[in-house]
Amino acid sequence: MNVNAQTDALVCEDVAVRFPLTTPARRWRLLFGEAPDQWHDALGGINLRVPQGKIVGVIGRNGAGKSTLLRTLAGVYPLASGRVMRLGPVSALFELGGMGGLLITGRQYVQRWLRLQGIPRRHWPALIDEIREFSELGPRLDDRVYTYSAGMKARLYFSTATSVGHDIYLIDEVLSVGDEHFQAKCWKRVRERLQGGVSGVLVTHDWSAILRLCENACELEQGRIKAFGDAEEVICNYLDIKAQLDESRPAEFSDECPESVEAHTGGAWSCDIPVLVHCSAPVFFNYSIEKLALGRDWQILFMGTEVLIASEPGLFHAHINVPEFPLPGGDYRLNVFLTGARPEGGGAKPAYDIRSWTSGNSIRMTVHGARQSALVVMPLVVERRT
Amino acid sequence: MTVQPFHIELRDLCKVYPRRLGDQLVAVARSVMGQPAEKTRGGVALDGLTLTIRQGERVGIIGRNGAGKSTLLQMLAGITTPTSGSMTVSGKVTAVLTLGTGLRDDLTGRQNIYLEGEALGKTREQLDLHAEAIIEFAELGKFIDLPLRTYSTGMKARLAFAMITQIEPEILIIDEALSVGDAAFAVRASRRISELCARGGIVLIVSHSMQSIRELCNRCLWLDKGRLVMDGEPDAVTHAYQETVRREDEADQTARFRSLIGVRSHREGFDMGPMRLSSVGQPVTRHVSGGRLDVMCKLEGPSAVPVGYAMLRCVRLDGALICENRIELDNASGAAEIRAAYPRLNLAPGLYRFCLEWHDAGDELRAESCGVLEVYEDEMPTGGRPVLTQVGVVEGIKVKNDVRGC
Repeated sequence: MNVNAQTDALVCEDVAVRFPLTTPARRWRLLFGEAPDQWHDALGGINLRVPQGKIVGVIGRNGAGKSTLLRTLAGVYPLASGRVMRLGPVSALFELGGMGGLLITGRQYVQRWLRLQGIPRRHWPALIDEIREFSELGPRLDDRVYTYSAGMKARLYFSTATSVGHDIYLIDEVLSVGDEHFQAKCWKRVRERLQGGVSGVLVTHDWSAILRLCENACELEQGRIKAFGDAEEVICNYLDIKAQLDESRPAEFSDECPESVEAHTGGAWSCDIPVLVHCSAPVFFNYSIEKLALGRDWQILFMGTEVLIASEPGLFHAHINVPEFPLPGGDYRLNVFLTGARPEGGGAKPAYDIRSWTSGNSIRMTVHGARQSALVVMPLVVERRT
Repeated sequence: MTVQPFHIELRDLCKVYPRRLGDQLVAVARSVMGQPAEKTRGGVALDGLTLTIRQGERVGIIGRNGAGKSTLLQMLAGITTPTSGSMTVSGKVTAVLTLGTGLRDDLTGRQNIYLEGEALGKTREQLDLHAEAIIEFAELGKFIDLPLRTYSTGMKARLAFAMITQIEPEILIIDEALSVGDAAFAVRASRRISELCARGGIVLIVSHSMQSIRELCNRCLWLDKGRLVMDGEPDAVTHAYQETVRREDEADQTARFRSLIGVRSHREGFDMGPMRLSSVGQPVTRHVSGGRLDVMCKLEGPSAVPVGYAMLRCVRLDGALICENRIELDNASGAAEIRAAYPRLNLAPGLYRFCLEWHDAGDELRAESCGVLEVYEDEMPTGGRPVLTQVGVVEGIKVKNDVRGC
């Protein structure tokens, strides 16, 4: 693989990481270069390339090797084979804290961090003020870290680590620190930082975060890359929504369901979605129209309310009618869902069939009309200008 | 009062953490002299908490960062002592405050299970049965015979949870434990907790995930600044809590948003009046989604104003540009007035900023005037937050009868 310093930020070539498995009694032998009895292969054959200005998402189940991969990229673990190239200063947003113990004050922690990062002293006062405000610690910043609650520590560490912009970010579930209010703030800050043309790797369980920040993603399974590519495809595979559908298929979208539909901005639009119902049970239909711009945005533009469309066997049409289509020109996704009635004992409604981007088979929608940066078109009547 | 097998009773419980060295010295001096600790110095983590928890209750504890949740659990677990107040706990407390503490890193998962079992005084036969059940529940595969330091955080959490729940705890305390496992494990963990409670145990859970509190608990406590704010059904308490957090955040954002309201002139001699948003002739700051909204604004310029246009933009609280409309101004000379109306403004509930920007023909900004509108709807949509509401209608039409049966 050729490395191009102009276009790549982080390159991982055929990387393997393994940990020696040995008993405490025999551990000293490792010092003399003796091979251990057994190796645990944590990562194998990892090829990953993060282009400049892009964030690559990594998704996977517990124990798939996500955190190991991130630590390897940061240079924490030695490589068994392959190489990792970091073409710029790296900010690792994981395992925050762990610097100077708990006896120092919050302010001292921040100062140590700034010194370690080599920030000139004249910038410190402004940065410390900014960190105090963002972390909402206020006067508590001058108290010792051991008096902080778990959430306060998380806030201090996150605010400090993101106070200065970096070129390459390694992010591990940072968006899950603290309460809901602080999570929203973290999310906003990460977005701001990332929009400034930085590169990085985002490791998370939260697929919607990957969708909004990454064009490309990979799924890790047992230390190997199971799938790499378009973030949307990788997430579809990971979610595997089709496996959660009711197996007896009391109702389904017929094969004649359109693959793509068209509409005109401001015009009347209607569409028939054929539905085959095999049982005498209530079948509900819903739809949504979404805009999916990988790595930038994901918006649900509008959706229906759940409607009972059938309660006996037969071929039905779910007829959607929009008198004035409110979206500007462009490409959209039409997602349609069939569900059953809520079971008597409570719980989730059974899913009968789905055609959605999350299951990889949404209906493509093309809207003809002027393209614009606003999300929707809202009619306005001008009554007087002078 | 009848004595119950397991219960927890807290009366006027307080905890104050010393913050400065002086606080600590005073605290030590007072305790040496046999005086009760004072509450005025240092940081107050718990401030007079009184409550009773009976057997079979699955109690969720929620609150913002620094509300005293972790302090309360630590106190029940006996890790820290109250500064004042009394605490009665009947039943053996098993706490999982940080998942994985008490597990040894250099031993394998299986060895850890046996070590823990022996520490609890189980026989070898009991342990063998026990270990099988734990291993099956934790689903660690080949990792069970590898040392713990090879485990990821989620795997350690799974093992710790499986071990803890297998020993049939009487009072189980869990701090944010379930958020680390993946979705499939969370489902099995919640089932296991329900089983424990059905046998009379008490479970206390601290979590930031309202979803897991609603699914797991049958009682919910909301703490704020060391005080009990609300105590009741998980659905009601979590909704009230989320609503409050949302309101506080919005108040905060609204204040920032409001600073963007007003009129700004960008070029000498060009000015605008305040933006007036009204409905049926009445000025409004709140709007029912789907209704008509009138927009009015005055423009003032030098007597001979060259041709220009005005752009009416609507921006959501999070910064997304929702819609924009261009209004041509052909003969605006001296003072002018724009009157326009959205016949059917069907935005989803939320806070929006409307901005009218006055440009000259060369796209250069002359002046702008902004206002804020809160949109609400009687029936909130479920399953996502769309941009628009009440757009289309759906109906089911029967086309054919003869389709294969089930």
